[in-house]
Amino acid sequence: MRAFIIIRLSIFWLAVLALTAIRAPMVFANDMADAAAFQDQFRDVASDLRCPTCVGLSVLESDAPFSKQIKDEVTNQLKAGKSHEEILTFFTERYGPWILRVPPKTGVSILAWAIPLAVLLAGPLAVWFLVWRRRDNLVGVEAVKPLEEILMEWDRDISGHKEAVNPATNPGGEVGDQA
Amino acid sequence: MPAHLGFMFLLLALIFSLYGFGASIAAAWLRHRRLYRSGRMAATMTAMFIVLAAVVMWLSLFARDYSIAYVWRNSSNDLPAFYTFTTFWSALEGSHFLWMMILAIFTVIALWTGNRDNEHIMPWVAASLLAVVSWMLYLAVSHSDPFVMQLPAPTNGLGKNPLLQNPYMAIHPPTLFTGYTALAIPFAYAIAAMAYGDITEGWLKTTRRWTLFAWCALTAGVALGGHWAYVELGWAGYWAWDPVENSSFMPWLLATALLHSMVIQDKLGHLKRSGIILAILAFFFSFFGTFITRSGIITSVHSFADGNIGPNYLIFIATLLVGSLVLFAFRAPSILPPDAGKVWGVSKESALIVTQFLLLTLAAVVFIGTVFPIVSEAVSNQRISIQAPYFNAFAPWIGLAMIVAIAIGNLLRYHSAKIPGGRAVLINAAVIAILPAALFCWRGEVFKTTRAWPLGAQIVGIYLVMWSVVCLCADFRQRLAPFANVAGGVFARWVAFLRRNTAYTGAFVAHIGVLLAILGFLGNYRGVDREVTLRSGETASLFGYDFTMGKFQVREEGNATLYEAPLLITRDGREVGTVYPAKSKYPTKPELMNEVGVLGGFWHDLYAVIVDFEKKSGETVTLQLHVNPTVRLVFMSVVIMVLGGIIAAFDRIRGDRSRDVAGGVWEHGSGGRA
Repeated sequence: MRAFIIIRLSIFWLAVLALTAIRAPMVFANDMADAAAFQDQFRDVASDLRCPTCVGLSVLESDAPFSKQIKDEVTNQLKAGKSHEEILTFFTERYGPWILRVPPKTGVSILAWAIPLAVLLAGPLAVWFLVWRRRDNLVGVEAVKPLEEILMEWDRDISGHKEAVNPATNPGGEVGDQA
Repeated sequence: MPAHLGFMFLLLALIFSLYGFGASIAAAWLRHRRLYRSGRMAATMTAMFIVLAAVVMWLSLFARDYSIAYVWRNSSNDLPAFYTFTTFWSALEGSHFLWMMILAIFTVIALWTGNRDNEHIMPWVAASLLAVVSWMLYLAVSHSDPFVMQLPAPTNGLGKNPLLQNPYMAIHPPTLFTGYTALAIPFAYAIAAMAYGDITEGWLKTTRRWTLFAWCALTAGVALGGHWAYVELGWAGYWAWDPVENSSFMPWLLATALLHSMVIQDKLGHLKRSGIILAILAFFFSFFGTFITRSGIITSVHSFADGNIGPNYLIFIATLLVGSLVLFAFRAPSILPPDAGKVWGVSKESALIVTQFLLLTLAAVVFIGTVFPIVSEAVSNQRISIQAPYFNAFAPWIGLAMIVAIAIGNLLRYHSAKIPGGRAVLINAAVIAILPAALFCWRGEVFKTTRAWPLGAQIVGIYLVMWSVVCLCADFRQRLAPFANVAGGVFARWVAFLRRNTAYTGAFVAHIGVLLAILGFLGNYRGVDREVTLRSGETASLFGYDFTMGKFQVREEGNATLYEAPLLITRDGREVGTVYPAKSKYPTKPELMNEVGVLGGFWHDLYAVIVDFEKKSGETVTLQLHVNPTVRLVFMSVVIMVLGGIIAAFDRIRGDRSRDVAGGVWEHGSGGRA
């Protein structure tokens, strides 16, 4: 009886042990994943805010004191459960749209987005219509030919036309290009 | 006293350049040969006096003559000789001086080496160049005078900016300025062609070579700047899309577009006028960059009004642009396309047009991103920032299109002809590319990227680049094929090939360089970093590497004191190397500067920078550790691009296929030596 209890106890503890052995890394892994996800989230937000005291850098890339303050604030707000957008709005309200690294998509600033997009979309069309499809340029070049040349061509056309309809010189009987 | 001497030299140079400008204009008007020669001699004297003034400046720098304000503000007694030399261009007046000097020297070279076929437009070339030189000299004696006195002379200078005490700062600005100023020659030839009324026989030959030279210098200059940022600023990147970088990138893009336009001009005789416009814009943008970076306008519109140099620059570049465009509007119609009509269709010329469109679009994006904050502040009084994420929203797509354009464009031929089996090449390349792409992904540890979008972008990008490289190689093979029967063995065959295809080979090499650069840029998507605080002997790991901190040490190097934390890097117990990130302190400046520790490999750089350290004992050090993939590849690719440019410059291209010009006749003063 006593041995039985010991066996049952040890089975129970083994099971607990086994379970923790299985669970522990999972919990640990979850923590790691959470930390990584948090880190990713933090990077996303921090790389959208400019370092107020440097040229061209985000707060993420900068260790200036001002950037550090902003990074701390971002960390706090993320921990408080605020979303990416909410945090950006918070900083925009505090420092103006200047704190964002891209121009806002409202007001005059929308042009900064619209113009490149328009160029990228309209450009291929313009190239297509203006250059690619203008095969009639050949006509344009002919129009400035000297008069003698045009007359000579005219003569050739007429004689060609005559030849074309003359079965003697054109045994195939094909009618030449009269254009 | 040297200050007076230097200033006098500059003044003399100004007088000579003004005379040279007037003489050249008159020579062009009267078609007077000796007058032109006189103008050319004046240009030579101008350059000589500028060089003399520069010698005075250098001597004063080495003599530590603090009675010159520029020397006083930018150097100090502790400065090593090497950096004393580079102090010449380490501030506003000096870099203006350097720019002016290189421009004057190039003016002289361009005028004396001018092709005989271009002789009748040379007066216009001289006038355009001397106009620019005169204006720069005017600024140098008025608002940007490097020889302003500081009396009584202090005993020590304020010291040089520590950021500029870096070997790259010795070579980066001169290289970049070489590129900027070399673009003045195509510009001057463009103006001359318009003033004369047509593009002349040797025009393309000369402008193409100068543009290639400028392009190589710009490519190298931009890359050297990137490398400087990488090793000196300590944020682990080489390109931040900041206004200064952008303003060096825009002329590069325009010069590249100009080169592609010139290819069509060479082969088909078309796009002469677009070449002229691009030459004007390329030069305009090289000045525009200086304008926005030195006028203070970039920090705020309101700081612009403070200095005098800003408005002066604005007047100049506005005159430059408006003048050139007005000239273009009146004179361009006389520059006619050749009699051969254009049949664009699916052909190389169309691909070149698409390439130009992509380059110009990217230039437009960079331009908007650089000037829009200024416009916004001026128009709506709203301050906004435009930084990397904005450019990164557009640039990768344009880059993607460029990869495809390079692959397909090179397989096409002129006049809608195609290489035999072109479609099969494209498809075969798509299969062949899988192997190198997979190899690159595996060796480059691309799959360690954790997030979906960067991972996808990398795989697609790497695969397309490999596909494009295979297409280029297939085209190269195709070109090589006809030379198979050349007698004399492999060597003779290659010589024959290279002699006939010098330009093509250069383009091939440069395109491979561009593709490798894109491959390198893709590495940015998988960079990882970590901030750690270590004590001596402690270890931190990142990306499979272990960083063990050694003994914190303080040592002297040159004029700087370094606070150094050696990091032993191991991987799987094997020693990889040691890096020495440090903070440095310069005698004349209070702040601590970053000295990064970089250990480079082909696949990635290990990059360590000290964020902070315990100032009293040096026991704990906070470090930022980075693994930066394929940075080496980016800089290697630039070397390849420049190499391609140099090869292409050796090509002896044909003259221009425009209609014959009955020019070249001087009406006056044509006696004397030829």
